[in-house]
Amino acid sequence: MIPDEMKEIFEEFAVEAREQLESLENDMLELEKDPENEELLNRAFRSMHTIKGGAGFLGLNPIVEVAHKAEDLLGLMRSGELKLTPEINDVIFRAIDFIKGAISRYEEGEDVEMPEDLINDLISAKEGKTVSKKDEKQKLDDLLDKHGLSHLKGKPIEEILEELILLPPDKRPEEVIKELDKLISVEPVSKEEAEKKDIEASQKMMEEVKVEEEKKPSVEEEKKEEKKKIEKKEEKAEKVQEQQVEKVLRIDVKKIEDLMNLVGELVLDRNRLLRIASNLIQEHQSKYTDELEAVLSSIDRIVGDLQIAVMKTRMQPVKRLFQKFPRVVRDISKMLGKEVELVMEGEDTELDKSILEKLEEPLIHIIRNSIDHGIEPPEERIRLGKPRKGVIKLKAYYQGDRIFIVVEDDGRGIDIEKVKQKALERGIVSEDKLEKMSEKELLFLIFNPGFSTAEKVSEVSGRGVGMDVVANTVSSFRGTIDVESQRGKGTKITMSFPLTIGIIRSIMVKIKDRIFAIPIYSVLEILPGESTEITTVSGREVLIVRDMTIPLINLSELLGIGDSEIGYAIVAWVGNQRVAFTVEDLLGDEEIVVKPLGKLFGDIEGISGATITGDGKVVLILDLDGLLKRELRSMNV
Amino acid sequence: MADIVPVGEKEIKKESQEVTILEFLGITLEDELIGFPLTEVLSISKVTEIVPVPFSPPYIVGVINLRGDIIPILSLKSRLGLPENKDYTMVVILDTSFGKVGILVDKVVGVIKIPADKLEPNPMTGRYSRYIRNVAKTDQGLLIIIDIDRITKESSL
Repeated sequence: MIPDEMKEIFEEFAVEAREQLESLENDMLELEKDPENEELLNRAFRSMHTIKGGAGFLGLNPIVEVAHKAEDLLGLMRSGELKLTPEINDVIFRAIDFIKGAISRYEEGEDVEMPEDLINDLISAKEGKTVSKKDEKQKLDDLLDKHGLSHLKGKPIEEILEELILLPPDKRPEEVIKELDKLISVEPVSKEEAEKKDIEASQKMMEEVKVEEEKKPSVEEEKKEEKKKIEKKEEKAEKVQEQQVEKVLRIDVKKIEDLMNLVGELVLDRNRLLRIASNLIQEHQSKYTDELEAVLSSIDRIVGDLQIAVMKTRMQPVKRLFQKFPRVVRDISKMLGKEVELVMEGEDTELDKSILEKLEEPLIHIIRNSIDHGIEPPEERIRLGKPRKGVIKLKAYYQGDRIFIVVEDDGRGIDIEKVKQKALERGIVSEDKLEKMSEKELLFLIFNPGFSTAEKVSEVSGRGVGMDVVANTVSSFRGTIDVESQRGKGTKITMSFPLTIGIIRSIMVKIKDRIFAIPIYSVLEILPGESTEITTVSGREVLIVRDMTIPLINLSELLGIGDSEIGYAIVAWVGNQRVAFTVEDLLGDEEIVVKPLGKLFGDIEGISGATITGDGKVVLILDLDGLLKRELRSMNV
Repeated sequence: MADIVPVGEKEIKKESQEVTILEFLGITLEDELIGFPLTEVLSISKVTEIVPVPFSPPYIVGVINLRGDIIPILSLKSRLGLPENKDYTMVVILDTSFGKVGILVDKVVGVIKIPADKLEPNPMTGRYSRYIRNVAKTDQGLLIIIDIDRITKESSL
């Protein structure tokens, strides 16, 4: 437990530590590709050190111990005594996860126990390495002595090999190379099985040494290579500098929310003012009304700009979200024995904070699916003539007033036949209906609750949540989701979200003397009532539009406000289908500020909130997705 | 004995003994005199247009616009199982653990002061005894002090 007087310091520590951990996580991922990058090692070491210091001040001993041991490991790597392997990295990641978890638990006022296992693993990670080196390298050391290379004694194999490459080919001692070769093949027995990667790399180098014996490359070329490397390092250093210069002010979200609310009210009052003024100006014309009109139009513009400016304070780059995925992809692909490269694009695209936060889970789910079901195992990919490593692309971009987030893989694609079969088995659709469905509609079956194409429930994908949860989360932010898939080529899932969540464009509709707002983004078309053809299919009303049969929902009935005329039918894209909603009259479209109905209501399926119109009236905002769900339920009962 | 004074007067301590005086806003629902602790009362206003919210229970009458805030309106008569003969004239806005909530009332009586030691425990009888915090005898009759948080908690969806 954190004592009350330390709470404030702890909160600061928590924020700081989380930032450090995030950057540490990224640095460790980078280091896995580039284990000798000193700058990264230094930074990782410093991050761990800072965390240790902060935790020490607050007396958070479990964090101090773990950070201390991890710092030791990083220190050994920094001094070149230890080489980062994926296994060591796993332990470091466990340490990072532990510290993250511990911070959250302290926040909840819980106590955290000393993680003995983890600490032991951290200790043995560094000892295991040095022990294994000792005995087996004795022979190598002797040989090095013999060939006058004693300065290489005790260095990692890779380094020795690198040194050997630099020697003129005729002077490379065969005996040493042979011994190294043996060492590499012996190592897996003494160390963890999964150290293969490390060894593979060494073997590659081995081959290089052998090949170069024949090729005899010029020394100059090698120098060029060196130069390039140095240049790259400098580039990286510059980038790091840029990041640090970024000016950031930390503000309590509550303050921004208050600001948003105030601006929302201001917008509503401005609308009202404009309405009154235009009436006034129609009645009395004078030089004062002209002046009034000028001032009003200026206020109108300023309020609009203010609104956008405040909205922007809530926007955050998707980088915040994306940066978690290299780790996710690494862990999942490792667990599943797949090789996956994650390519990210458009990380600077900005999205409303509240959407950003809620997107993590769905994206993890989609990516998990891609790795588990999409990307083939390496051997299979080679057999298919695909590159050994699968690629998952995660990108974000703007289009119009929406932001798109895409997850694309080059795996095996979705097996439509399997989808059909599963849908039948689970009783999601009837055989008749299945026959009539387009390929797109079939693909969309994966968003049905309880649907899973996995042959068996695997540890990775089968956690009880399916694509339906993903689709629900997306639609709760007035987002859309689309799936494209090509057999053998891959799958692409595209989500789109409104840029801001506070204000939406809506059609105001009248139903039995009451006004409701329908968000415009999902509306496809509006048909006048008299020209529509309505029939009944198995007791359910449908609309026939250009040979399409669209389910029809009578809004006044569903909302329980009695019978009303069908003035118009609003056809909208809801979930994965067209649905028509009847309304009595249309009152035009308006930008509206969404206000929650309040805690007392919680989430009402079918009503997503309310807005206050220019004349002070409360208008409820309809959530078509929820309304459709209600209608479907009422029919099944 | 409790006095009735106009809304807005501050807490007074009796000179003879150091007994805390508690203030309640007295309102009537049909024939019952009900009190809300004054500290929980945010404002009192006339009944404006209440917009019903579909898919919500009958005791939530709807929502109103109170200076730009959307506020749910509860019908205590419906919630407490009282008859509904008299018309509502006012809305009392209360600060509850579920945010601002409006309560429809027939009449606002005024602030009722009661010494803390005159509060009597819940008699545990009647249709809605579970929502009663205390009762107190006043000139107007028995004042029933309602536990509004309990009501909102059980009314939330």
